[in-house]
Amino acid sequence: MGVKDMGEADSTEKLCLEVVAKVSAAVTHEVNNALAIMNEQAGYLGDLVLMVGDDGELPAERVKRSVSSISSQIGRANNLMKDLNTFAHSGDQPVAAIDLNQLLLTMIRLTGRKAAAAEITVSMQCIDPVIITTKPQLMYGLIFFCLTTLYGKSPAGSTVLCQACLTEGDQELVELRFRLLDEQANSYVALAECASLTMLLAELEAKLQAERDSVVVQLPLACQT
Amino acid sequence: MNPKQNESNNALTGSNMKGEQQERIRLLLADDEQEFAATLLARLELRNFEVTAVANGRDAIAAVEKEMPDVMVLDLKMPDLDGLEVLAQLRRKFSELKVIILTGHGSFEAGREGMELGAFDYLMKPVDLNKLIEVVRDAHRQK
Repeated sequence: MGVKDMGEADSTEKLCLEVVAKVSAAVTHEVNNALAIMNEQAGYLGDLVLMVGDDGELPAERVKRSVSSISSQIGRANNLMKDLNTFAHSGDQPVAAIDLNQLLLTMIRLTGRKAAAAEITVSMQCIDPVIITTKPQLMYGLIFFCLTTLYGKSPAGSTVLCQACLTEGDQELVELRFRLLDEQANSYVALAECASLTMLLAELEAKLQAERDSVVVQLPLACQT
Repeated sequence: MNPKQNESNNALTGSNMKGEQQERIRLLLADDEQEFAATLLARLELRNFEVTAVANGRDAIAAVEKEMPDVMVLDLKMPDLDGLEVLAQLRRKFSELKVIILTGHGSFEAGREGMELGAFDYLMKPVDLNKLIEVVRDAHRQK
């Protein structure tokens, strides 16, 4: 490996670390919030017990609501941890066959708090499997920077529809499509100017394109290892 | 009511051992996690606090301008205005306002900045309610 290659690898590693740090920060913050709700609900049940005493009757509806809330927050935290675990394992193999729509869906969920803070609605247009051979950790990074740049540039109240699909007329290419239901010109420019994204696009042999209402990342079905 | 039950209720309602009510503190709670805010509000009201809850930064500022609370409990990460921006604006206009930051966001930098902007204290979620109440009472005593 030459000096230039080592420099590029070092930069790519730094990018991956940055994504890991930011995703971890967002997820742990949200898990803290879920824990806080569980903590308060458990405390509230304790308060009810104190109020009614040993011989009193607990108000069933209020207890049911607290129990339901705790269950719901356990589900919330559990789903976040599952997604974080999936993402954490993306570095297990440098190259692997992955379902691009599942990666996209996982990263949408992991960045959900950022989207909510920017008042952006993000959803999947389609979740049919799109299997490609790629570098999973870098692909997560690419999707992360695409999504978070779009959250930053889209006006509050916007909607972004995402999907991975095969490219029409070319069996060797797939696309990540981000369909913006509001102005998209600024979003394409923002993505094109994102240095981190540019580096990842090069590593993944991908291209960024603007279409009428979408920003598209075109990728090979199988990357060069 | 038996003595043990009376003691439990005193602990909840904020009464001292003689059953005399402690001063009722007016608290403004700003947090976009509505379920968290609603449950914390209910528990604080059981303990004789008068609580108003808002779910975003702009409503927090409007609530203080309408009626200054005794103490404010403020989340950092809210939609529209960031909690630190809310803190900065409120401290500029109302330097006597005591603000306690209560957040799930663990950044050391955010904590440092919050204290530099004049927050009374910085607590992490999930929080022990007794600890929160102790800090709220400290803040109120120093008004």
